[in-house]
Amino acid sequence: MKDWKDKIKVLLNVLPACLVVVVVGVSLKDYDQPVYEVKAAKSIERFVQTEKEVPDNSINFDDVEIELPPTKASSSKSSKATKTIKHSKEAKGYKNGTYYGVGNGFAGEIKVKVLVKKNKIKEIKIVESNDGSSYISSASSLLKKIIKTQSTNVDTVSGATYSSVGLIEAVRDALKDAGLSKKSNKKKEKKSNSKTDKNEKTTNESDNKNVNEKETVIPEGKVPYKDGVYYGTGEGYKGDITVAVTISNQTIKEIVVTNSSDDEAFFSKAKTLLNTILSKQSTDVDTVSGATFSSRGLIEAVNEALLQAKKATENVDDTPEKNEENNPDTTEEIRETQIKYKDGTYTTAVLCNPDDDNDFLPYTLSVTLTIKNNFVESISDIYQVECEDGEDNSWYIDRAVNGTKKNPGILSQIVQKNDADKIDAVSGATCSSNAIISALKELLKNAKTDAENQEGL
Amino acid sequence: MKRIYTCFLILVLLLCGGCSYGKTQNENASSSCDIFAMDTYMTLTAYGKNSDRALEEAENRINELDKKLSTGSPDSEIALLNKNGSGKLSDDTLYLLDKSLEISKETNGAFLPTIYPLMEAWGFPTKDFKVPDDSVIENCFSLFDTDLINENKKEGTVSFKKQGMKLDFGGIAKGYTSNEVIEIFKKSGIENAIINLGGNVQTLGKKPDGSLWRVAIQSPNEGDEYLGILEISDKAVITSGGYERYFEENGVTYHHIIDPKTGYPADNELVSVTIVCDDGLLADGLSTALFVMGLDEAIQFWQNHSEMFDVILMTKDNEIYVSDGISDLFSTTYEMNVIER
Repeated sequence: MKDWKDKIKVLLNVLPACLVVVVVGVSLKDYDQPVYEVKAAKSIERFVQTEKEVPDNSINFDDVEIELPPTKASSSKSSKATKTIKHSKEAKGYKNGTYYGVGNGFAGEIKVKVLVKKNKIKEIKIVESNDGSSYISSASSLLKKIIKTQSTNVDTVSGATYSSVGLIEAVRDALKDAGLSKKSNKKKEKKSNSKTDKNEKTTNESDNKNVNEKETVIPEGKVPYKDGVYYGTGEGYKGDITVAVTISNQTIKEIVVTNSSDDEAFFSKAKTLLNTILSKQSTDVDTVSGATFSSRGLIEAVNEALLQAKKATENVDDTPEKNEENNPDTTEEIRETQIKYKDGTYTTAVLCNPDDDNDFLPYTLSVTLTIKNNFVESISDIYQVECEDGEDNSWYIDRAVNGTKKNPGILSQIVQKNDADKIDAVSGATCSSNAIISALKELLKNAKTDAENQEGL
Repeated sequence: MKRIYTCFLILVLLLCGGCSYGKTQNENASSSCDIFAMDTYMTLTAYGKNSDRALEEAENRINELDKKLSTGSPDSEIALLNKNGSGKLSDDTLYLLDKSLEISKETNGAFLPTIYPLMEAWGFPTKDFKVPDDSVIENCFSLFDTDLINENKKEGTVSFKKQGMKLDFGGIAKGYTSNEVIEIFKKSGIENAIINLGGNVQTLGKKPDGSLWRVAIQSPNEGDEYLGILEISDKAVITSGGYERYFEENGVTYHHIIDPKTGYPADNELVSVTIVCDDGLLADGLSTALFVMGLDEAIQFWQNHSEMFDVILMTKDNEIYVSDGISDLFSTTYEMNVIER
């Protein structure tokens, strides 16, 4: 990390000199530039961008080398001076689909749309460009060549060099992640960059002929939603998982798990999934073989956040179908009609019996109930007292008490409804739920009796 | 189309609440269910009008098998057999015994159902990990001989000819269970389903929209992306790696896949083995066996059995070897080599 920063410092020292050269280059733009300038400009771009990108991601990318393709559009003006374009090593085929890419033309970005059918480049369209139309129209003749040769290693059109280079860059940008994997060796390059040879590798990068094949960790522009931070919740094994998804420039920039009861092992595995979502810009995987961890809750949470983003984009209001039970009006109503309980703390133990499936051995469950101002204030200290086989049922107990995303837990239900008869069992923890409910019935009965006795006196 | 599917998925996820059964269902219904059994997390998803009922049945079957096959719970059939040296086994357990002996023979002992005493010596079942003394390992070797298992098929009883022998079907129990779940789905008229039993994936048919299931393969490199994505229908996809269960002692990492020949965790070029096969049980057993074999032997084994299964191997150098039969269905960003028949 330190070496990396040092490198930037060194480069920053070189930067003013480079800019001078570049400015000269621009003013003498009819002359061919020496190639080393382009390389220097590119590598600065690379570092500037890398530096910018890193703090944006709260997911720890320390072990992942962030590489941005030099073809990517950038704010650096120096790239405008690029007039020559190097040959790029290319995949022999592409995955079917429509891809968008950006390159730098003479007067700004050129955006293209590339259609791949039957693993071949079928069609290329210029979506956006500020370059003069005559330049664009003469440069666009190279697009036919690209389709014909199925390669972006084509000559620029003389008299429209900048637009040509911009177009080639844009097509390469569009196809950078579309290469068929069989022929690709980009990951190997990435993998072989162990921490020790990373610096060496980085220094040599500007000389690397395969620069165009390098991967971006976060590709751009696949999520057509409004910028913002969106939240979603999914149901994990140990409770709800909440994620915050940051969308910027039509890209999922960051996914943070904001709330989860799961342990460290969960997070380390979740990181794998989140990195994949970031790199693929989608949750389009059905399941994971070899992972003893459920990705479903996490995928569900991210999908919900993306749905929120979609809604925000379409200006559709949140459907109020959820949380009806949390409606304060109905809660008040129920509360008013309640019978009165005597204040105090009540504890009991009940037996939790398995249902017909006999999935577990019966165990004893302790429940404590606190009544304040005639209402159930809380239930607490719910734990397994003993069990014949010593099995730990705390997962079920926790699920029953705290509930899941779709099924409110007994704790929230009893506080709201103030009546054990109106509580629904939490699915997936039915037996524990029923045991706790029967304990509450008993405790509330005691509390009620006490109140009546008191009134009687 | 993809976006439509995602929306559909979201809708489905919003509609199905965990393991809640008994709703009236139409043709397009789907149900999902998460359960914790066999010491791992399981997720079942089935599509179709009978999916609720099918899932409920599947969950019961999983719990039933868990009870029979768990070496950990003291009153399971298998635990009693191991404790007493003889016992009566149910049809399920006898079937697993036969199958595991078959796989053991075919893989030349790379998969071994009698390895349990050694697993105990390493502390894997109890999670009280320790590196056993050589003398202890030597002693375990003498308990491996599968010919010392006496099976009376008529009576359904099994006994060991040597004291201290123990059986464990942990290496194929999840695979057998996923076969059974898929059978239940088929009988219930379910045509599309995907299940994941602690990393063991099995699919039935295709997705309801007619596309192939996309099964990612976990990368052994922590925090990395997946090692690849396989598009598949009607197959089990089962991955073994040393990265899920392991412990560290004096700076050395010991994983849970023990090579029966050395008595130590398998240490070869391979870091991950995925078997793709119609039969979940076979896939489960072979994933362990090929992991123990190492790269060359595993490739050779596949070449001799290429009609039975397909394989995805990953080496320590991050190279991937994929067998001919599925190379077109597998995509990865790693260097990929196709194993020819």
